[in-house]
Amino acid sequence: MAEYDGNAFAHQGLLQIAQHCAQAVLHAPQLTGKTDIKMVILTDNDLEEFLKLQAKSGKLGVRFNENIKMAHDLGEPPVLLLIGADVTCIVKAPCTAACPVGIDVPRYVRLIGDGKYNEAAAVIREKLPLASICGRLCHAPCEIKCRRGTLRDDPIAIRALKRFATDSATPDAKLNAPMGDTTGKRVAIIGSGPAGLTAAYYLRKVCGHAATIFEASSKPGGMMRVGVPEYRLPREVLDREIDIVRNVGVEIKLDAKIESIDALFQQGFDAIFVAIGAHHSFKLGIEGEDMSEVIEGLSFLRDMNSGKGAKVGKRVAVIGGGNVAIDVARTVKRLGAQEVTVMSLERQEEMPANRWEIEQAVKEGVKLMPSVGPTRIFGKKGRVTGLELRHCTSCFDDKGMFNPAFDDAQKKTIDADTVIVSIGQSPDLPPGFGLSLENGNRLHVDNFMLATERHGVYAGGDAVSGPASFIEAVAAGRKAASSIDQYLGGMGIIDEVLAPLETVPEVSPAALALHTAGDPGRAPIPFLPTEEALAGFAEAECGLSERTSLLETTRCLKCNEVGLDCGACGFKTCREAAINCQNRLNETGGEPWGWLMKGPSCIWRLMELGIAVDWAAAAAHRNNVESRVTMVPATAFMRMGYLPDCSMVLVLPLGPCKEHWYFDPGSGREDFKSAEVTRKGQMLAYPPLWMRFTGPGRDQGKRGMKTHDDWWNPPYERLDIVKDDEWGNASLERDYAIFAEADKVREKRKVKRLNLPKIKEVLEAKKKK
Amino acid sequence: MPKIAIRDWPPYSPTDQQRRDNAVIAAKLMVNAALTAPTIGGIPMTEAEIVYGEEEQESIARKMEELAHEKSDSYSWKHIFLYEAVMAREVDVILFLGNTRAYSEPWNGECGLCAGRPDCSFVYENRTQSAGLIDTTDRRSDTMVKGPLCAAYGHQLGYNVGSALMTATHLYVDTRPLITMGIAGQKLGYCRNSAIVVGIGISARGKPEASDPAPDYQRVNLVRAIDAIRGNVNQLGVRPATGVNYRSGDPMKKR
Repeated sequence: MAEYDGNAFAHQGLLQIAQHCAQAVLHAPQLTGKTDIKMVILTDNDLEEFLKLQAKSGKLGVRFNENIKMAHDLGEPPVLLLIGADVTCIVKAPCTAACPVGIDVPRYVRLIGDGKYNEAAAVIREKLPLASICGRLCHAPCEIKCRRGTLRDDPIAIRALKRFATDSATPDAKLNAPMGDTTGKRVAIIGSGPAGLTAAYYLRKVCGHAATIFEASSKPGGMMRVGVPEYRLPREVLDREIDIVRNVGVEIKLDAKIESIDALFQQGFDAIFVAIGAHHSFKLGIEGEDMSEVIEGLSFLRDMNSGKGAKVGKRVAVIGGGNVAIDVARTVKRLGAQEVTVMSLERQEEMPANRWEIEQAVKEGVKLMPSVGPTRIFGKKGRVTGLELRHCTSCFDDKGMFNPAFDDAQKKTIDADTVIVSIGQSPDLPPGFGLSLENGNRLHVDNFMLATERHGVYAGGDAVSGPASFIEAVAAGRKAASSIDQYLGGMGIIDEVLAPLETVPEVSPAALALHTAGDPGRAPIPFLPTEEALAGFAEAECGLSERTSLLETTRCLKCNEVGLDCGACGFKTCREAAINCQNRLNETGGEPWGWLMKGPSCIWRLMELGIAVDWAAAAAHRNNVESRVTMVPATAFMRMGYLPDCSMVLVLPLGPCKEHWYFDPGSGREDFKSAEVTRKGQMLAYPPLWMRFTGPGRDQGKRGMKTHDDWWNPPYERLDIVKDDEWGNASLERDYAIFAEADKVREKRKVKRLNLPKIKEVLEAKKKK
Repeated sequence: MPKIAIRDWPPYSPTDQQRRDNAVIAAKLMVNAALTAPTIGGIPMTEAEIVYGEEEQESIARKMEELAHEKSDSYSWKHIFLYEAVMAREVDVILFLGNTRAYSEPWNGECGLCAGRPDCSFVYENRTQSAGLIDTTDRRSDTMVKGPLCAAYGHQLGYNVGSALMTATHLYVDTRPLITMGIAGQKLGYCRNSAIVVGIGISARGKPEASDPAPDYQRVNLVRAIDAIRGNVNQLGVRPATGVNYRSGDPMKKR
């Protein structure tokens, strides 16, 4: 007969019950359906950090500290269920969630609608230094997720609006401001593509390290310059954006090919970011590929974009279905080729190229031949005459992996005198880097920090992900900047606040435009007439006009607001509340540091969180486990970086025993005094009711009314009335100590760090001199 | 023991009334659960009101429709007000739950949830108050709810509503908490001591109206569909038996 430790089993059961509670939370009914509730279950090991923080934090949550510890000593470590949600007046919209760099799309769309183009551009630039380029090159994952598009309409033209905002904004002096003192650390960035430029910008401007970019070619821009044709990205736009990066103090060394990382370390660089892109083209590996008219797609584009020019025949076959293939085809068409055919393994709807790029190519006369793969290239006297193709029955296997299957019975031949191959690229990694390739074609890094196996060497962009999009490279650049800053001893915080505080306009230009326009559909993106476009390399896509842009903003469903306009939160409209909320988040850097939670909150979303927490508590109750909803200790977890996107977090301690304080509010509270009393010599402007009746006339400080209350001597030290911005120095220092301690936990947990310098700055400003 | 016969159609027939009475019992038990929900500081602040009957529910539904057309600028919320009004009409019972302190006595917990300030100054400064006591007689408001409210007590109401809903699941009655119904009920004077009210529609029927409403439920719903059929006899191919004795033969047959 086996014998089991019943207590240990009970503890395991407790964990399972915590899971039941979490399940109940997911099933709780909602009122607005816009609250995304997140949960974490913590057990004994996770609580250690909490205990340390509590020891540091003085009075805040002291009860919790002692009693958890008591439970710990008794050998009954409780299980904590943390339930949190973002219940502020700003709802995270699907477009923002889809953006790899998290640009606040509804916010800049709203600002464009208000006619505030500079502010809109600033909102974009808060996350993305190369904003104008993004408005032209981005593959717009936001539009795929746009709720207007997922319902029954077309998505709003977010990318075109972004382009309009950045093109219409007047240059901002803030962007070009020279940076202050550097930290004395030096970072080398290899490659000046979107990842490298982004990382350099943040490392120099926000983190204060000296950043040097090494670029192998004679002009900066990486794939944006050599791979993207001029009709998609005019070079003056590219140069303008690169100048912004230069102006913050980034040094760009051209014609500087790096062969060895050790040499860079010897030059005194403290960290290195490898953003070399993917410039090595794959080969087809078929017969006839070595003929001179078989060209690599990327080298063709490179020759074209560097002004060297290229020669193609009358009938050109482009092999590949990605953006490079389409770019090649459209470029070839501009060179005067009569017949250009793009052959891809994928079916047309599976082709990885941007949908609108394919549409434009077809409009310009490029022929598509989907679902075919070449088997050999014919030639006569060393010159290409045609290709043999076979039918590709499927491109991806059941698991969704690239694994093409062919039907050899279906073969055909076509005539061609030039073949351009663009079937993908891999990084061209010099052997002196000492880095290894994963699957033979991409750099191996740690996904969280982008660190390679070499100490102090980070990598990102196409070199790591394989040929991907512009915006994913920018996201990698941001991540790398944050990681490198942490490696060099910084906080890894690269957030910028560029947009000024927002006000609600009296009349919105978008509303005026709508007044005369009726219900607009999705704004069609204007293009140059085909003949004109094919005549040269002028930008093919024209931006939206001002009026079209204004009308387009009115199509936004404003998923970032609840939209009821009920007034419960104290603002007349949800929009006003969202603006206020955003201003406050800008002010505090998104962290609640003088108080417990973040506001302003939507009352209904708060209520939804309440329903969910109650269901968790009820689930615990049903499983014969005691629980108690607590809020104050949850703030400590919040600051330690648990449930980072939540504005309100609650803790549900679950335990089998009735004797602990957290189930019995009467016990162990003798030492507890409310926070107001522990702040000696000061008092809130609006103290709790019990204190209002025991203290002198509350209104006199605010209203200037003299009430004769000198006859009454309060039984405690006379308290001063303080306003929000006049807290006692001691409590401000205590607050800072809590944050500093919490930040150490965040560092250990590798989550986003607290912006301690900013917190210090604000707390110092509040101190009484 | 007398026999209790229950059929769920036609509405408000004596047998349907029996079923509705059972739903009222469920509503009463739900109120108990709401009152025993966890509270902030253990202070009593919950108000509940149970409303049922054709006349009462109709007036609530009409108030919701009025709010839809008069107050709501947003298209989506106008739509929500309209189809939820039908639910107010169709459910068996409506339970209103409100919080009596959210307007007049903020929590003073330094939570910063209302507008991000550490004390409750955002609430106090938007009120007529003296010595920290808020004047509750001023009930004028431009908005549907008179704010700002104590956000923590709004959160508290969530616990009450949650407990009531959890009880409903145990009692196997279908429920749905509705913001719109709460606002309309509050305007009509239900839970009149409360600053913020949620309406919970409770129904005990095979088809839960509130849980999966059809699109445009205000236009296409069961009651209207059946009513339309009953009103338009031609749709069924049935004519009032006038003149011809239908027992004598098939009226459709050509004579």
